[in-house]
Amino acid sequence: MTTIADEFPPDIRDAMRGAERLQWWKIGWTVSIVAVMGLTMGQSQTMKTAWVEDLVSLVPSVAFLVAARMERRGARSKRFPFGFERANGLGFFLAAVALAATGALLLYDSVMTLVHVEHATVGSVRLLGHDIWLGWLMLAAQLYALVPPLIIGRKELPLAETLSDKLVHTDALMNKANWMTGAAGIAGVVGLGLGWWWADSVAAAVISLDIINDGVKALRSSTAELIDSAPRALSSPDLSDDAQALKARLQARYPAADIRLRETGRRIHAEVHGAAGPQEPIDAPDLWPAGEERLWRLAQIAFVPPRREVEAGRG
Amino acid sequence: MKAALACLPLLLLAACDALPRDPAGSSVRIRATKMLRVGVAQGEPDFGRAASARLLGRLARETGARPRLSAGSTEPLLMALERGDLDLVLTPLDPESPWMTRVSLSPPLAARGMDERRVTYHAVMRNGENRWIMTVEKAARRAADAGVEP
Repeated sequence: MTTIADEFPPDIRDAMRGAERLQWWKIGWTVSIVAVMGLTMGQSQTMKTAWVEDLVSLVPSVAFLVAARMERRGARSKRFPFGFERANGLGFFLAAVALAATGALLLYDSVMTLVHVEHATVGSVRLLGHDIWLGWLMLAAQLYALVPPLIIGRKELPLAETLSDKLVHTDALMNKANWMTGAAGIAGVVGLGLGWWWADSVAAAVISLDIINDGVKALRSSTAELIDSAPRALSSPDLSDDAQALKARLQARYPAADIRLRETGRRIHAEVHGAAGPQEPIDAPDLWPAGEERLWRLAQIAFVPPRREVEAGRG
Repeated sequence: MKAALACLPLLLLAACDALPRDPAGSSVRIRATKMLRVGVAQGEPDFGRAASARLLGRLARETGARPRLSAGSTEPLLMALERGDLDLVLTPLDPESPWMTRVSLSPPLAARGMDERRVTYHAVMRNGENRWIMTVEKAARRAADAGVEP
């Protein structure tokens, strides 16, 4: 039996393996960041939330790795006749929940700190015979935590585009959220050092709004996909242009039919309701608007012919 | 260029000293008024007395301020500290105490008993006064009884 990935062209399969390698790298870096941040976190609000965020950012990576493995290895079987095409969509949903939840958590924590007028204590530690303000170590940790997500996020965006992978795209957003939180954290810790107790939380709150925005957008797209909505664009809940163009071409060819498109992970399914399909092979490249090298995204065109009405009084 | 590079570590050192500052200005006020308002827990076992005296001596030298002691029980003293009426409270405190998140503790000055029965004596500062907290922490590390592990 075949797998979903068997139907992809070789360059797409290569890109998938590239994305998997990138996710493994990301997991390694993230674990090291979580360790360093955990050691220096102290009472700082932004440090604490940045740490939680780094931890949560493992969710999209793990979800991608599991989904990609299922797509590559999971053969169609008696129990799973359609293969594991939708594993990526489910992973996308999980990643979106993680992203939105991270933003909400960050906002809640920082607003609470502001409301309670909590003055964060950042004390000193004794290191190699010197008394060092813990803030300097926090700054070092934040700087370290800034670099990997910046680089990995940048590498992910073109891969997400090639693979038409919303899960990878959401992970790139998560990486953006991560390094932005890092930058806010640096501002917050410096502010804290200058005696502005509120700096830490205000910085965290501003960043959280951006993360919530990205999270809600991803959540809208992913829930839409899971309930068979029309295919969405990679980076927004707007309808995908390619899919709309495909629909227009099908409609032109079968004017009387009802054309329905949906998305399963990275591929598009078309259903032509009310038209009997042609007996000869269908010329998919003619119908597909986005060029032959992206034709792999068109999973199938299914025809649902009209039913003969049951005559009254029969049987 | 070389001169600038040579200056860099000096600049960094200067910057190291610039942070942190106190949101409520404790350090500046203590130096300006030459007075250090200290609360000492009364009626408590006084195993921390020697270390406390060493700590106050160090802080007096460091800041040029004279400690003005007021005695009381731990709870009212900590409340005064939280309000900003005291700069420092010397008291034994359980690390599991609910006060732990409301005030900042120095490393232990002295300790008594073992394991479950261990009680530690601390200098306690107002939360967020990071420069002052660091000053006290530094002094406390040097003033602590020999062999007291944090």
